[in-house]
Amino acid sequence: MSLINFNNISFIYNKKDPNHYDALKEVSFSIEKGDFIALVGHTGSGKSTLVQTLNGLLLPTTGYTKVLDYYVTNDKKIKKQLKKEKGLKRKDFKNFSKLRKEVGMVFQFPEYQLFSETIIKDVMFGPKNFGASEEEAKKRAIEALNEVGIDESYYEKSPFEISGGEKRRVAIAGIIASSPSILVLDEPTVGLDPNGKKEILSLIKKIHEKGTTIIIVTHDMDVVMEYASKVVVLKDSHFVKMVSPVELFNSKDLSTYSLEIPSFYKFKRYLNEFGFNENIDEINSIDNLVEVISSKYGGH
Amino acid sequence: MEKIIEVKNLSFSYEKEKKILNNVSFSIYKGEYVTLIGHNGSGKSTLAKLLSYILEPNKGNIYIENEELNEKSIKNIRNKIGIVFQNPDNQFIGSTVEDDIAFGLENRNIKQNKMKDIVDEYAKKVGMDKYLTKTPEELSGGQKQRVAIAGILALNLKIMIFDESTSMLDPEGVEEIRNLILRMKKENPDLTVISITHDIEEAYLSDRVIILNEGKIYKNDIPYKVFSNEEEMKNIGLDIPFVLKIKNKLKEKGIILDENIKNIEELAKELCH
Amino acid sequence: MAATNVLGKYSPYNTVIHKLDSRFKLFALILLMVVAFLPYGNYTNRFIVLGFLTLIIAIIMIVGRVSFSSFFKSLSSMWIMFIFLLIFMFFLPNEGEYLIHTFKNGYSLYWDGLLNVGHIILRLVLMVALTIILTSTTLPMDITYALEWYLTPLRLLKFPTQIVSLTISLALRFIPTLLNESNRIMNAQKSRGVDYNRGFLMSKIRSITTLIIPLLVSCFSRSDELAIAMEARGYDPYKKRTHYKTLKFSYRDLIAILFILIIAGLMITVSVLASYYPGFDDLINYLWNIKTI
Repeated sequence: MSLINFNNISFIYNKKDPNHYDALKEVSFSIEKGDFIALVGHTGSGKSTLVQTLNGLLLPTTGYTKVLDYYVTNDKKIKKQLKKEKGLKRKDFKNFSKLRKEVGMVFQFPEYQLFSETIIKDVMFGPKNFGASEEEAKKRAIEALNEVGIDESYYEKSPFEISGGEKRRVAIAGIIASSPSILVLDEPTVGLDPNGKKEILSLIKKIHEKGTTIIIVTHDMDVVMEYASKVVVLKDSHFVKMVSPVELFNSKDLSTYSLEIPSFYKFKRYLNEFGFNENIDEINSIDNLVEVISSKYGGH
Repeated sequence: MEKIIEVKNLSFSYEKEKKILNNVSFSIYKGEYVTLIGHNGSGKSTLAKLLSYILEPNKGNIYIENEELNEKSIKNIRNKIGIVFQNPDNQFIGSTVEDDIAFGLENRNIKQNKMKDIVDEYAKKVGMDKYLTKTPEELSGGQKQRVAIAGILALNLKIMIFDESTSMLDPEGVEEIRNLILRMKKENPDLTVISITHDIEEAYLSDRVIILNEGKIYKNDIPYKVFSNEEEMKNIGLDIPFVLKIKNKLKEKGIILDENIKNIEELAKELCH
Repeated sequence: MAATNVLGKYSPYNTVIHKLDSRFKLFALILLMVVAFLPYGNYTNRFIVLGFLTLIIAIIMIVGRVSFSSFFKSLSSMWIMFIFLLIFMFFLPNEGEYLIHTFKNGYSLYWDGLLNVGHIILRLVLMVALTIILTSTTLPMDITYALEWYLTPLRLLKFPTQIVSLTISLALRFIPTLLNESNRIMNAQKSRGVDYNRGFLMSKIRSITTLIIPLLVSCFSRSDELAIAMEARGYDPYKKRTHYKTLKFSYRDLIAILFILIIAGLMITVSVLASYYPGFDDLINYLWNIKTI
């Protein structure tokens, strides 16, 4: 059985307003345990709305999102049916505390969630909310801070006196300290320089290798290429497809999703367009491509 | 060529700490498009703040058209330099697009009957003429940055500084701004543009690249030369532009291509001859 | 993108109400508020007059395409006040002809008391409605232009009208931005296990700080950047500036002024009559009875 299942979900903002707006329309797909999913699509395609149904911040207007054993929905019919079939209670559709422990959510500019007097207290905040004792929370916080590379000398500092990149890592520590089994990240690298980006991404990779399922919302196709096991494409509130990154970038209709194409694939496209006489469709690395080009031109 | 900005022996540090900028000197000439790159902590954002007089140097001077930048001259110099900042929201002052473009004009006491035409003209230049009455919440990040650019262009200034203006935008927005800068330069060759950025692809399209590393100027040359050594760039935490990467690899194989090829399309075309 | 319907959100339609001069709208808002709070004698009178005003305001809301749902939403934030009023009512010197119920603790509830609270609440609701009409049909910038225009005479007294009006305009401009921001922060904290809806006083205060502190931090950094951006674009608070827009009065405004003045005049007349001519109440009652018969 799948870890996460989006079952025909739609979401309407301001349902009763004249200018209501459909952020998601009949989206269905599943995510397996251990996946590293990249969620892509143009601005306003519904990516952020979709991930917010994962821990009950938003409830699908129709359909349901099933995460682990939880059903997230605001659909009266489905609720009724689930009450009948699975014996779920009213509160099962309202209380998301346990779900939120399992689904860690890193928003854009996560540094804006910091509020405690010290860094260690801020990281302990999540675990304590989810029922850990003071000692337990501290132990987890120290582990999480180790993981993101913040050392002991920082623990008693104020989270407001450290640098931007450090703030972001502390904020992420505050989420992984609750040891979620699913980690969702919404544009985690926006506003960082190339070094900062790499740091955060290799951190996410490390977390993934420990068995956490990762869902990352991003515009950065290089990130998709390098890290994701599968890509989910959304367009105009609809689900388009779920494929491997290589498959996505080689697909003919790529330009219709208004995604940025990585330079390498753009280059391949132009070569084909201008009549480069070799078959390069199956080539997926720069070195191999350069090999083909140089052999054609008699290089050594 | 006429020097428009001269930076002489500039140093800066916050009290007693390590020097963020250490004896930096360079000149920028009229009509140039210079990109300033370097990773975080290289001193480039401090340099941006010094150039826009948000900070004052501890040592050394900055001259704008031979006039030293200081508290007295700043009012006059504000009429020469415009700055587009990083966060699109925090520089949107008016409540609608047109009000925001007009803000700088109002400050310079432009007559009302002239203002409307100027606002229309520059909104059109940045492609925002259909959005004049929109509020900031209805615009994308890239559109907000275009409005900020229109507001500065409308003042007819000589120098424009982009202070990481694309780092908070999505790829579409980055592309929009990159193209807009090139178009602006084409329309007005006398405009001097300084762009502080992480975007090496943008740097590759500029006239000259200055790389800062640990508070010092590491490179100051045309893009082709600056990025020629991939290893060296990687050592200071920077990548090199894609086109150059391919060209370098082909060079190793003995295939040498024209220096002027700067974008992927041209490169592919050249290889398909 | 999230729903941010609150007091103060402009809705971009192009109705007659939207087109009216903002100076007039501001004037009409204040005039009608004052009129709503005039004394009108006994409860029958008060409810007839306020009912009439409610009708007029409802018509203006429909014509101006003011969103009723956002109106009710902003009312919902006033519930606490309404409940407080209802409780307060028990402690008022409560006398009257019609006793509804006497409680065991000695307090008694009179029909008059209920009416009293009812009409206070109605006045407050009308006030909210008027404010919403102004903010949803007038751009923040136009409201500030109007404010600045009214403050102009104060300039003679060296009052910095320009600074005040720009400050207000910036505040209005940033309301939606900050609402989005607080939404984002709340989502982040909810994901860390904060429940803003539950708990009693202390835990509520605790959960609110998880929103307020980050919001303040972000406000400070925003205002810093904003000040720098304004200065970079040549803003000098003590220098004279020109204005991109000026307000122009049109025939439409003239008709609207006549309309509002007639309504206000009528109501002021009723108020004066009710306060100074004791026989007026009887007259109204008499007329009312004829109609109902």
